[in-house]
Order: sequence, then structure tokens, then C-alpha cells
Amino acid sequence: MSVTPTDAPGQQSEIQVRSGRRARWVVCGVLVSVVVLVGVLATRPAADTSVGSPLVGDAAPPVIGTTLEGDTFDLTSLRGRPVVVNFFASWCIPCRREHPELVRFLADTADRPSSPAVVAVLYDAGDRTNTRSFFAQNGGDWPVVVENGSRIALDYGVRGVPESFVVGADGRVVAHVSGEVTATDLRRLTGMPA
Amino acid sequence: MTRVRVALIVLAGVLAVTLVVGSALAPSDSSSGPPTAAERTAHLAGRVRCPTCSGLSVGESDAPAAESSRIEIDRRVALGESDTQIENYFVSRYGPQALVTPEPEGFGLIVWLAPLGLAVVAAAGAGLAVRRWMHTTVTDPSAEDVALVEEALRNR
Repeated sequence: MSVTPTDAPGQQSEIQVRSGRRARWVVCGVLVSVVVLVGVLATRPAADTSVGSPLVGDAAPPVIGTTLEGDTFDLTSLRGRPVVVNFFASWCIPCRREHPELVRFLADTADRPSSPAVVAVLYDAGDRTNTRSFFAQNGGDWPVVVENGSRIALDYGVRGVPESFVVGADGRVVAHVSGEVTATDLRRLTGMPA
Repeated sequence: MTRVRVALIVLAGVLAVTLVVGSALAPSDSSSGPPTAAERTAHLAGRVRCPTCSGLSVGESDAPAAESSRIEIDRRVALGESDTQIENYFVSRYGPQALVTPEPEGFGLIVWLAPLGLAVVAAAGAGLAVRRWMHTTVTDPSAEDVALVEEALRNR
């Protein structure tokens, strides 16, 4: 003898319908979460932008030190002219590649009133000898300041080389370029169109 | 009182005792005095991200940039700057990514809100499960069931 409750099939189908609805809600919730996450990740700015730094608009941090030639250098001595502060190392291939662009930039703008200047900051103090011979072979007569520690790089928020900061005539940071610069970029950023 | 209710009360009691005893036995900063300069440097070195490494703090990395950052932290601690001032220095240079723990603003807000959201969802789920568990009623056997059992017992 078997006893089957009369309402059992009805209850079962109701439970199935409820479970199905709940599963749909869960799937919808997960899908919406994934879409929102992908949307946020896709629209946020890239971590390493080629131009942009918290320093842009602020007074340029000091660049004071001794050059490869043994002279004392202070960035404030160039106030009144746009200055490109270029963080450099001779072992850095992109730095070697961009070097002719810096030479060309200075040559192209030398006859302009308030002509821009370039100063290099040596990222690696142990790289002095190689840097000296690199400049001797490839040109570039701008001062190369040798870091005592990495204080200047830290003050400029440098993550690696090459990085360049364009400092306006008023001593404020106008632009930050992470990676290689070109003479065209520098002319534009220093307000010296061709 | 049902067994479920007793179990819940015992569980709540155990949790409360654990929290009270744990917080009483935990080392307190106030009892050991203010942190030394070296302790502050170590703490801040664990908070500031190494600018040239991937996912490491300056306290964990041997990179030259990390060493320079530690020296800078040490120098600023010696000058009497507060932890917030020192952290703000690195943020002003490298942006909000300068800190290992992101600030609760912008995209970093998700990192703070996601665990909170998950905790709320988990608590709601646990609450629903407990509610359903407690409302599960055991119905008395029907007359037919009783008759079936009695018949089975008789035929043993």
C-alpha cells in the first residue's frame, strides 16, 4: 500500500518555479556585476600615462647638485626660460634613442627669444664615466647633474628612465613625459612651434 | 526553547567571550608608549609603494628607488613630520598609487566597498538560511502514516 499526498506534485512544481526564478535573479546579478566591473576597468585612465603627473601646475622641485664637469648647478638659475629636466642613464636604450631629439630640439630653438634649456639628471650615480663618453660621442652640451642618492628623482616622482619634465619660465611644471620625447613634442610643450 | 535557539544563543555567547578576551589580551599601543622613530619608519615603509617594483612596498624591496624612499621617510620622521604628512609627500609626487593601501576615493573606493558589500550579502544570506531553518516545522504523522507503521510492526 502506498500513500501519496494529494498536494505533493503542486508543491513540487511551485518549489521548482521559485528555484528557477531565484536562479535567474542570481544569474542576472552576476551578469550586471561583471558588466559594471568591465565598464569601470575599461573606462579608467591607464596607470602609466605618457603625459601627466601630480606635479603639473606646481612649482618645480629643486634640482641642485654637481654636474659631470664638477660645476654647481641650480635649476632656479634658468628662471625666465622653459627648461626640460630629463632623467637619463647611459645604459637606458630609450634614453640613447631620444638623445638626438634633445640635441635637435635645442638646435632648432636656439635663436628664439627666451630659448629653452635642457638639464639632465643622472639617474644612476655610478654611470658617470659612461655618460661622459656618451655625451662626448653623441653631442649635447647641457649640464648633467649627478644625483647624490635619488632625492631629485624622488621629488619628481620618477619611476624609471627616461622621464622628462617641462618647467615653464615661471618655474612651474608644465608637462611630464614618461618615455622617449621627440623634438616636435618638446617644441609644442615649451610653446616653441616650428 | 528549541534546540536551534539554544545553539544560536550558545554561539552568540562564544563569539562575545572570544571578542572580549581577544581584545583584552591583544597588545595595545597605548600601553607600550609612542612608537620609536625606527618603528615609525618601518611602519611607513610598509605603507609606501616601491615606485619601480611591482606590488611591493619600499620596506619589502631592495631596489635603489625603494632604498631612497626609506632614507627619505627616515629623514622626514627625524624632522618631526607626522605619518600623514609623509604619506602626503609621496602621494603628491606619485599620485594615489604611491600608497600600498589605496585611498578610499575614485577607483580605490571599490577596494574598500567590495568587502563591505560582500559581508552584507553574506550576512543577509546567513540570516535567510537561519530563518528558514528555524521555521521548518515537523508535522505530526497522518493517520494513514500511523496505520502504515502499525501494520508494518505487526507484520514483523
